[in-house]
Formats: sequence, C-alpha cells, structure tokens
Amino acid sequence: MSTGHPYVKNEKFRETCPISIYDVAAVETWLEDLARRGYRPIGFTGIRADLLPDEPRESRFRLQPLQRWKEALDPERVSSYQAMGWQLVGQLGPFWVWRCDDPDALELDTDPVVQGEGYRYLRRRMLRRTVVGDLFWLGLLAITLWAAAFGSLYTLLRSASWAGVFARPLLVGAALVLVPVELWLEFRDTRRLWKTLTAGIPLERPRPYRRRKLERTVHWLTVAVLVVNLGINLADLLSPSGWNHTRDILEEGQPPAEAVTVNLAELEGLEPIWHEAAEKTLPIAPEMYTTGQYAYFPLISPVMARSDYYCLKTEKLARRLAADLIKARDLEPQPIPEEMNGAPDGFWWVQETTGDTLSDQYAVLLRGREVLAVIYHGVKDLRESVPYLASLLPD
Amino acid sequence: MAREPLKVLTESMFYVLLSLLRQERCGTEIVQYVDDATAGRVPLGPGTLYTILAKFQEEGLIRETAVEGRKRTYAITDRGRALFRQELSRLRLCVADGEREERASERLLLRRREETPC
Repeated sequence: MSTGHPYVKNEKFRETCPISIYDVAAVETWLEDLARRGYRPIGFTGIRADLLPDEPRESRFRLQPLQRWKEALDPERVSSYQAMGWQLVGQLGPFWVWRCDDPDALELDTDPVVQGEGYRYLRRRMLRRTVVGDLFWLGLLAITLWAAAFGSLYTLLRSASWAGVFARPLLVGAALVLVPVELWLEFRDTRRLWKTLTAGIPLERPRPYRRRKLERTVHWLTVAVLVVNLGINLADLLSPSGWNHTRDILEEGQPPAEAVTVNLAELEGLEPIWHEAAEKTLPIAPEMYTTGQYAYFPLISPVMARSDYYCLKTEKLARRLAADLIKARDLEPQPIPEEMNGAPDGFWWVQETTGDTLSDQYAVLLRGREVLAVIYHGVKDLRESVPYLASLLPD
Repeated sequence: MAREPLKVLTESMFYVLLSLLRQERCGTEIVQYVDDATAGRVPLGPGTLYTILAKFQEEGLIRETAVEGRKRTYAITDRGRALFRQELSRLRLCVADGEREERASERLLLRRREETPC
C-alpha cells in the first residue's frame, strides 16, 4: 500500500479543510482528491477530515445540507442511500458527507431546483454567520480605535514599553487596513457562495478548487493584530502598580541626586524612609521618575509622599498629561504666588479627608515640558509649597 | 434561479406525486416506480428524493402512514392531489399551446414551399 505520504503509515490522521465549508463543490473536490491520493475520509472533527491510508481510488463525495440546527439522520434515508451506492462518511459542519465508490451509481442530487430548495436553511445560516462575523470585526475595530483615540496619556506613560509605544500606532494602522479588507473578502465570498447555493451545485467542475490562501492570510493577520493590540491594552489596564518597564534606582535606601522627587526632609523636616524609586524613559517622555517615601511624625500617623515626575518631548504633550491627571483626581486650579522665580504654568490641588488626623492631598504642577504629580499624606499644606515644588523641576 | 416549487413542480416532484396517486409507497418503491414509469428518462437520486419528501411533508402534500423498522411509507393528501391536478392542467395547456403553434408553423412552411417557384 502506497500512500505517498512521508509520515503516514497505518495511523489515522487529520487534515484541515483548506476552503470554506460553504463552498460545496470545492469541498467535494477536495475530498475526492484525498481519496485519489490514497487517503480515505472516515469522519470529521470540526472542519478537519479524519483520514486513513487506503488504496488510491476514484470516489465521488457529495455534501447534503442539514435542514435544521441539530438534525438526526433518518435510518430509512441512510439505508436507501446505501441501497443506491452511497455511504455516510460523517457530518462536516452543517453538512452530511456521502461517499460513492460505484461509478455507475446514480448521482445523489439529480434535480438542481430541488437541491437549491434544500439549501434554504444553509443560506440563512451562512448569512447569519457572515453578519455576526462582520459585526464582531467591526466591534473589535471600534474598540481599537476608541482605545487609540481616547486612551489616557497618563496610562500610556506609566505602563508602556519602548516597543509598545512604537507598536501601538502600527497596530492601529494595520487594523484600519486589515479589517476592511477582511470584511470585503467575506462579503465577496458570501455573495459567490450564495449564488451557487441558490442555483444548485453544478456537477461539472472544470476548475480545481481554489484554496483560500489570501483570505486565510488576511484573516489570521487581522486576528493577530487585534489580539496583540487588545493584549497590550489589557496589560496596561491590569497593571497593579500602574508603572511598568521601570528601572529601580534606589541605592542604599536613597534615590540618586539626579532623581526629581519631593523629599519629606525638605517638606516636613523629617528623615524619610524610601520604599520605592524608579526611572523610566520613552520616546515621547525622555525622563520620568516615580518615588515613594514615608516618615514617622511624633504622636500622629505616619507621613507619606508619592511623587511622579514626567519630562515630555513637547509642551503640548505635557499639557495633555496634566489635563489627564487633573481630570482623574478632579483637581482645582490654585493661585500661583506673585513675583516667583521660575513660576509654573499651572498648579492644581485637592484635599480629601480620610477620617485620619491627616488628610490626603493631590497636586499637579506644570511648567513647560515638565509635570510633577504629588500624593501627600502629611501636615504641610501643599498650596504653600508651590515655590518648593517648582524648584524641583530641573529645566 | 430556483422556481417556486409548490406552484410549479419540477419533473422529479411531479413524478414523486404521480407515484403516490394509486397507492402508498416507501422511498425505494418510489424510486423504482419513477424509473419504470419513465423508462429511466427521469433519474431520481436519493438526495433529490428525500429533499422532495421532506418538502412535501412540510407543505402537507403527502403524509407518513406507516413506519416498519427502517421503512417509512407515504401517502398523498387531498392537497397533494389538488396540486397534482393543477400541475397536470398546466402541462396539458403547455402541450396544447405547443401543438397548436407547431401545426401553425408547419402550415406556414407548407404554404411558402407551394408559393416558391421551382
């Protein structure tokens, strides 16, 4: 027995249907080709044919549509088909697949009008599948575009990597091209198959079946682009600390001198214990620092401060980041002391009481391309520390 | 483009109804009857037969009368007979129209030959 297949001896194996299962004539030709090459289809798992090595033979394969979602085959029908030379192979998607090895046996379908009638349920099912598929693609594209257009710069700066910053616009661009192409290919394919299913399947098949290489490539490329993009967005959202891809810069419990951060020693006159100090750079933000510190204040709860410093590529980006931060905490603009050296472009602040002796203060300071965001749980009123906060900005 | 099957029957549908006019039959008997009645001129593949039977049952043109093991027997209903008669009348009209036109064209052909000088 020669199957011509290098890795198959007597083992059952599977081959995925290389064309749309709604392309009835093409699927039948594909199965006939398999039998001709010495692989006997003995059943189906999903859209994969279970094959056994066999003598190469000329067989006819015919697909008959199910008439409803779950259809049990009538035993009389099976035995009648058998009596006329047709054996049931199995169910492939919405089809019963029949095989005939007798070249003299009558065709399964002898009336194209009746055959077209039998495809009514299938046409509806194919149309439904196409509409649902198209809506799915459009939904994913809408999410991708929405995330790109309205995603927060604040989240991007904290969570994205260098590769992520470059990949995002590329992925969005690719999705914008690929999804419409995918939808057009789907529409074209559905229209062609609709015509075939309406007119009945022609018994003459002069053309070999067309493998949907272009459709498959576009399909999987689109899936990959959207999944990667979705993955990046989800990773950003689910990041526990908010900061990703940072470099730890704590040395012997102290941040280095060049790190831009508030210091409880200067703010409160207390020696801080630093629990976090990290730096990060991105193409759109060449310098960023995040630090966390606390100190024990006599007789009251610990004093804590967290500061995030961003130096953006442009002033426009800095203004956008400040706007994101102000919106996130609902900060209010505060007056800037007159005749101040290196006065900031803006200072926003809000206080939230927590029931503790001390309250939480949130502040954002903007100057040129620089943004300093501070979360502070302490005695001092940050509104009185604007000159100190502005003096921290190096530019 | 598919015709509306239950107003204008295809040849296969017509012969399936015809096979049930005088007696109830099962699927294999219907195929055998059609093959004998048309001397093999109208092939009735099993796929076509069972699609027709399902459609006719759905439309109330035939009904299942007995199930013995794997054998199912079908009988024509009054609605089925009415549709058969309607189809037969349509075919008669088609034949009459065709014969009339053919006779007319033959007469015309004959007159032209007589008028043409040798």
